[in-house]
Amino acid sequence: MDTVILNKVSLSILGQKYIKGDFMMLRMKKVSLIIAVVLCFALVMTGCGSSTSNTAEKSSVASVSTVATATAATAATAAATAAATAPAEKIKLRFYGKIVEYTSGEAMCKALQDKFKDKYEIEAIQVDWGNLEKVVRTGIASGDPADVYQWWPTQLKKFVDSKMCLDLTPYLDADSGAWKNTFVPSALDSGKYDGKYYGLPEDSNFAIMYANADLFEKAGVAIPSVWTWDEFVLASNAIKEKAGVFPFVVTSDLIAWMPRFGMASASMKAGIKSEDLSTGKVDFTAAYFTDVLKNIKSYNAAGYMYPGKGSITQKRDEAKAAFLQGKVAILAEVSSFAAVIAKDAKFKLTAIPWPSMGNKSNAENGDKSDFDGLFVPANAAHPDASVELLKAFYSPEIMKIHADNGYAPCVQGVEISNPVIKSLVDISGGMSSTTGDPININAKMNDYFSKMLMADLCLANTSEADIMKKIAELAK
Amino acid sequence: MPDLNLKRGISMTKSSLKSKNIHRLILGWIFILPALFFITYASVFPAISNFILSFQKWDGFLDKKWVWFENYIHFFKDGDVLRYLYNSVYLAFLSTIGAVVIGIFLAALVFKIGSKLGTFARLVFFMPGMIPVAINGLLFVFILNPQMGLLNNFLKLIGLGSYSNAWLEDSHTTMNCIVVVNIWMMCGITMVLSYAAIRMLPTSLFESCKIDGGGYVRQLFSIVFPVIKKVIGTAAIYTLAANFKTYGIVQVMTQGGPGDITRTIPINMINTAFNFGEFGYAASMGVVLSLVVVASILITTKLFGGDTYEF
Repeated sequence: MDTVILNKVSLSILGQKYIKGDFMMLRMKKVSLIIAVVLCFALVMTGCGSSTSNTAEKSSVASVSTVATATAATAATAAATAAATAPAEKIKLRFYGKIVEYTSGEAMCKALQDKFKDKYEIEAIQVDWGNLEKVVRTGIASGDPADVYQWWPTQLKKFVDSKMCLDLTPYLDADSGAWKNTFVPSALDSGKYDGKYYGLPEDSNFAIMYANADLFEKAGVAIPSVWTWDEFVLASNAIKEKAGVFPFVVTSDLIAWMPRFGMASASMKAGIKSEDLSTGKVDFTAAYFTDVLKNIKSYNAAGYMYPGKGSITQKRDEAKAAFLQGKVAILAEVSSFAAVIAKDAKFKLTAIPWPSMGNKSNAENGDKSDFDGLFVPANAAHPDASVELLKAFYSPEIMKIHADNGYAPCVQGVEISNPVIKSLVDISGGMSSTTGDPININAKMNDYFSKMLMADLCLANTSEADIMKKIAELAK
Repeated sequence: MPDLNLKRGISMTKSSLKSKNIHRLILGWIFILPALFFITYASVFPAISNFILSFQKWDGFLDKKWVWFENYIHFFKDGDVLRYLYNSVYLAFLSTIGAVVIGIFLAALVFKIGSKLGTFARLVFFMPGMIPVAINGLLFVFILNPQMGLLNNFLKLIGLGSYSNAWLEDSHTTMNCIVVVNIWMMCGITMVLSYAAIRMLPTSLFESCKIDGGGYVRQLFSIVFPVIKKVIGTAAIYTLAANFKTYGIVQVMTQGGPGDITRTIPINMINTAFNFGEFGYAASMGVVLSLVVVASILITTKLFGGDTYEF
């Protein structure tokens, strides 16, 4: 009987429980609403905070910039003070400049870490070339960038314009320019904007053609020291007909070199100033520009580019493999791969310059010397320590590792024993780092040249005139 | 005396239930909070932040400026971006249709061939979905290579060399190649879900159809597919959402090229934000794509809606 009563009571309690449950639901709704409001408030605060932090970041940038642009003596004193009063606890520095593709990359970073093992904890980060711009931009925008970034000094303008780079001039000029004098002057100037140095060159790295000299000989073509586009086409025809191989291969990520160098050399012949081409102050609809595209289109249509169909989308490994297997006579690549390619080539390898669509002279054919390099972000946490890192990295001891691995350093006093590298240095000697380049006009132009132009020209069959109109639009 | 006992009993039961409820509530929150925190931090906040950013102009470094609907107006006036949106929709729908149809038939085949061989077949068919996207992409880049690729060499071997092609360069085949790879990667999920649903069906259903003279194909179309329609719908929604977000496979296989033939909204968003420094415009693309995805999911849900069967 008790049990039955208890059961009834339980039921009634359960009834109450349900009522309570509803009450709990209401409370839950209230709690949820409060949480939602708090979350939204936090979000709004985050938004406001970001603007504040931006302002703070800007002021930090400004203050760093101010410090950096102070007199040479002040900077030198600051550097000396920083060195003298090194903190007991090791500062953590991030060096975004480990190039694993270069055989010297690991060893140079190891040497840098060893040199500062008692002072700094250096994290050497591998350079992600494919996403480099994203990495640099997001790193700086986050307010917590790496202390040193890899970037080509000749292409630093967009970061300089956005005040993202630390002015290195005071550091270079300190002690009567002691550090500045260690660099090859023409190379150092590649990172100079409005009279100030923002990027430092690491090694000469420029566009080059690697030629299979055996195939050239088989085709009866002399190895050129300089050549025009017409001579290049004639040589290609002879190689195809007599040696029975494809004359030329260029990978999809480098294929923009064809129109870029073509336009540079054609504009030089037309008497256009380099800076005008680089800033877009030229008439892109002029005939000498459309002729560049016509040349390239007809060259590809003639089947000179490996592997015929698919010549616009070649991957780097595929192109290199085809060249090393003797299926192609000329490979377009960067000069810094000379040692690696020479090691794998089972034939006589030689380096030749790009053909000119303008004058037949190394200095005037639009060949552009370029450099790998480093810069310090304007909002780096420890600018003096970053500069100290750079000084050590550009020391002859560490640059010797680079040279011994087959790369041409831009620092004086480093002995170069490799003859291939010496020949590249000779070629680069005739080039200019200030050659005009339309990709410097803006990021969209760079994107169009790098990814779209050749596809528009050779795959979509867009007319040369329409492409140049589009380029002119982008230049605005 | 009995009344006192009853009151005590009621009071004890009330307090015990109350404490149990509180205990359960606390325990529930303890379990939910970590996930809630991470999901809020990693998904909800960025989504809301992205929405706000879509009304602003920001280069990723300097101050943000409110431009309200300017980014959206730019989006709908930009013919290239609309083409990228079309590419995203084309890739998502074609990949989903292919993956779901093939997945269902694979499930039906696996179910038919029995448990032992079926287990092995299930593993094989599901494996592409387990392999990282980058590896799948590279695998097909090699297969589709115009010179050294398996496909062209196979065509040459069987005397169809004239059909060999630069598959990832030809504007007519590039996007479809990516669709095929997407189908290959995604059909395993539909297969596993559909197979599990078919296994749940009572054998009496198959037997009764068999008695009426229906073969396996008839059983599939008349019984199995209508009954597991909701499961197929779930697989389709999952596959569709995943395909809309596709970034990796396009990036690995073509980087959106050649030119911008295979460029999709996610690829273009990254480009616009990080290469052009137009974060606000990129955010507006994300918002529009999200709306398209939501609309597509609603349509798919409607298509696969219907009766729920109980056995």
